[in-house]
Amino acid sequence: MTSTIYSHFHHELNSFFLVTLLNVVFGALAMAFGIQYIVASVLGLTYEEPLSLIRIVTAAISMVGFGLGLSWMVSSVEIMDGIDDIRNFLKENTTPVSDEITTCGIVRMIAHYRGHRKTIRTMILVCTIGGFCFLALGIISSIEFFSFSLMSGTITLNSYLLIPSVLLALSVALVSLASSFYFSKFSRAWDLREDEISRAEHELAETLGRDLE
Amino acid sequence: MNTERRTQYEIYWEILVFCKTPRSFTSIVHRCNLNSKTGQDYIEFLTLKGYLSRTVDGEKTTYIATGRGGEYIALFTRLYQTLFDSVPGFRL
Repeated sequence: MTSTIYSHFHHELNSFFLVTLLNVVFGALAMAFGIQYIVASVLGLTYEEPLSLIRIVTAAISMVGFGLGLSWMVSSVEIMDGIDDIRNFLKENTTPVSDEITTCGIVRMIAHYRGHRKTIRTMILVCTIGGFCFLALGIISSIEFFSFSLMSGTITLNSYLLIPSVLLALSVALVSLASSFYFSKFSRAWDLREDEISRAEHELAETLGRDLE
Repeated sequence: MNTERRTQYEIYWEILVFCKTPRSFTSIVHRCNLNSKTGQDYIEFLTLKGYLSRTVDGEKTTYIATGRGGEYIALFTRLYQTLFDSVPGFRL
C-alpha cells in the first residue's frame, strides 16, 4: 500500500513540477515579448516623425506586460522551489520508502499548498487571461500578414519573417491555457484533500479529547 | 519555510516522529522549524498528555515518544495516506 501511495504521490509531484517549469518559461517569454514591444515602440519614437499616441500606449502596455511577466516568473519559481525541495527530500530517502517518509512528503506538500494557495489561484486567472491575450495577438498577427484571395482561393504570405513571432505567440498562448487548466486540476485535487484533512483533524481532536477524559 | 502552513496536528506528528529516539529541546525546535515559545507549548502539551516522556540526566533533558505517541503517529499516518485513496489525484 505504501509503495502505491508513494508512487502516486511522487508522480503528482513530478507532474506539478513540470507545470510550474512551463510557467517559468511562459513568464520569461511574456517578459521577452514586453521588452520586444518596448524596444520597438521606443525605436519608433526615435525614428518616426511625429509622436504617435498608439506608440506611447503600446510602450505603456508593454511595460505592464514586462512587469507582469517578471512577477509571474518570480511566483512560479517560488512555487517550483518548494516542490523541488520536496522532490529532493523524497530522492534522499528512497530506500526503503517508509510510511513516515511518504507521510512527511504529503505533510510538506499540503503545507506548501496552503502557503501558496492564493498565488496559485491568481496564476489560474492570469494564465487564462494571458493565454487568451496571446491567442488574440497570434491570430491578429496571422491575419495581418496573410492575405486570402476569394477569386482564386489562394493564401499569400506577405512576410516570412513574421512566422516565428506568430508561432511564438501561439505557443505561449497554448502553454498559458494549458497551465491554467492543470493548475485548476491540481488545485481541485488538493482542495479536496484539505477537506478530507479537516475531517481527519476532527477525528484526531476527538481522539485526543477522549484521552484527556 | 515561513510561507508553509502546518496545522497543530501535523506539528504534533512531526515532533513525535522525530522523538522516536531521545531528543533535546533544541534539536526538536530546530528540526520541526518552531520558535522556542511555540516549541515549548507543543512539547508541554505532548508531555502532559503522555505522548512524550521527559528524561532528566544531570543537566541534560531529553524527550522520547511513548506508546501513546506511537498510536498517534499510526493514526495520523493512516488518515493522511487515505487521502491518496479517497481523492482523485492530479495527472498530466
